[in-house]
Amino acid sequence: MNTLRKIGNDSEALGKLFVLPTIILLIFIVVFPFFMQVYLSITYWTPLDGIPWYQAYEVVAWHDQYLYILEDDRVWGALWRTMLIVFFAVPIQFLLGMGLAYLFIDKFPGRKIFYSIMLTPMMVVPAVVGLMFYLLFQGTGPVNDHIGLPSDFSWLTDVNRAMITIIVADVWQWTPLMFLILLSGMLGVPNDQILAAKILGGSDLQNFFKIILPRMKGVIVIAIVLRVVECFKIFDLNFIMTKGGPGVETETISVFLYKLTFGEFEWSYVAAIGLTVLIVLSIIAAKGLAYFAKQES
Amino acid sequence: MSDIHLIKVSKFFDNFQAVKNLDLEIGNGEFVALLGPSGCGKTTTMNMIAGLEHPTSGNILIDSKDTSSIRIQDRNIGFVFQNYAIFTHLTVYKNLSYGLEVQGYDKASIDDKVQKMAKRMSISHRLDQPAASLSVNELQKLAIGRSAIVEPKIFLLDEPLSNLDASFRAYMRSELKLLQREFGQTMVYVTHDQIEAMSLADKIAIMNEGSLIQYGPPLEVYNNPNSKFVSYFVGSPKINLLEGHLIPNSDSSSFVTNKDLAISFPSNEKLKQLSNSEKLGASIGIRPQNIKLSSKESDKDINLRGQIKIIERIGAKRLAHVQVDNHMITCIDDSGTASQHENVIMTFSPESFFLFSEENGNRLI
Repeated sequence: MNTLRKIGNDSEALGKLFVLPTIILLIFIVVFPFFMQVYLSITYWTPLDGIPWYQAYEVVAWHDQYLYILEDDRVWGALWRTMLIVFFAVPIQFLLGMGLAYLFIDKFPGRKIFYSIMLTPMMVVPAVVGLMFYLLFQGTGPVNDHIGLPSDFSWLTDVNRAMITIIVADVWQWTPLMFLILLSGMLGVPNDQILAAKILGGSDLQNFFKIILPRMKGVIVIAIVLRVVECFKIFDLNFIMTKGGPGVETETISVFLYKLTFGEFEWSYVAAIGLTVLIVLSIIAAKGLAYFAKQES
Repeated sequence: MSDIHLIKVSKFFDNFQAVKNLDLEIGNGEFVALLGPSGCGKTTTMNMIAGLEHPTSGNILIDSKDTSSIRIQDRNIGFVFQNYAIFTHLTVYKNLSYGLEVQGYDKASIDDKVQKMAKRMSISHRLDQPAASLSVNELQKLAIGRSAIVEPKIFLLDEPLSNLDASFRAYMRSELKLLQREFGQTMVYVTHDQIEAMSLADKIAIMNEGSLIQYGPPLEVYNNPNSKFVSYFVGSPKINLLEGHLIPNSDSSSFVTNKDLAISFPSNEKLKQLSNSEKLGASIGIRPQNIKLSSKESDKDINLRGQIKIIERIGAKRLAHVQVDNHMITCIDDSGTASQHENVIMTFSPESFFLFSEENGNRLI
């Protein structure tokens, strides 16, 4: 009772007591798995070994797994394909999102309804989007039907075209998020400044590039960093639409890790790759945000 | 330089009519102030001239050309916003050069004009700094400079001085007048501050509830208001308005206030015409400047006896608030010697007051 009263009077101790549950929770869901991952990544352990994971030190590998990443073409291939998706999907989403946001600054009849419709794709479960586009891109599916292509014109099983379908699906689903973030940024540009620029004789295009765009820098950086990081982890779409195929043509880093984990049970190796990807992504995000902070100051 | 002609201009926002059938002619090189209380439609009128709003009906002609199909960019108008609308992400230099850049001037002439304008507005030392770092006073100068640099035909100013401190406001008033003489542009100035309008404008357009009430030179509007609204809105200190009714007669008419104070005066031509009618709801308006404080009655003037209740000092002037029966009447104490509780006689000439109809507020005499 006395101890409790003591804590009650000490605001700092009380504060610590209140955040303790969250800290314990975080230790279990973030800190512990992270260290477990680091630990496994320096061993040769797989669940097939017959020893529990915490005894993985018996098969310690130190940095061997990381060295193996460097010469593993499968990792680099998956990374390259992931980058390819990011490289095409994110800029397309950005440009479409920006264009749509620009259309939505002005009021027009039905704006609110269009706005709601625009945001729907973002709300759909990615696996369902995968399924939708899987059906759309069938040889006898609506896409071929509409553009008048023969039913043996395959998208999902074609080496060159499968990637396009993944990018299209990702663009469809995530352009709305880009649109939402960019629109909020665009609405943040004071309207009277845009009017002032117009009155000074600037065309809409000039005013867009000289007034609106520079003022949106911060928001643009956030939107792109967010999408690059998210897109880098793309899994559901290609897992459902192509299973990473044909062959490994649409196998991204996430799909590759999934196959490695549940197909080959190379858990230590997966841990090492996962950690590497985490570090790379963290660096990208940190760089982006640092740039943003610099702009703000 | 350009003239502006508004013909039967109306503007609706949904069901609300912000501007009603406005006819206004602004001559070449004139400085016109749109004056009125908040919500009277003055800013909407100016926005329509600039092209920021489109009239629901009616036409706006600039240089006799209908503007309805001319884009904002092509109107060649300078507009100073109430909050300046400075591009805060750019430097002062870039703000000044914006209009010239987008209009495709070459670098050398841009630089030349920017330097000159910066010097003119005394912000040369700030050119390389971000516009966001300027003080309000400097922002104001920058806003005017940025609009003036493209040499617009028409200069529109939307309450540009309302955010400034008092001393700088006075300085900017004279500066604006100077600028207008220098550039010779047609200027339209929106304000709710009658002192600003009186001191700056060649003509004042007084608006209320979307309609133009009176349009004329400042002194004309002040000395000859066409309505109760104008007489009350223009003039400082405010005009004394007493409500009551008029009993017109052929020789001498009288006005009896709602609180039974009777004022008699000789009938002029207009009152003689009214002499057949019965008593008429009306207000009498007497400007404090037209009332003299005196110790004895004057035969040719109207005399009111009262007691000074409050002496108020406004700058160099002293105002005396005098209680006459149950009314408080304000006058200017020219002598500067009146004291509180002193019994005084207020005199004013029969030509110096206004009578307004109670029915529509229009001037009777």
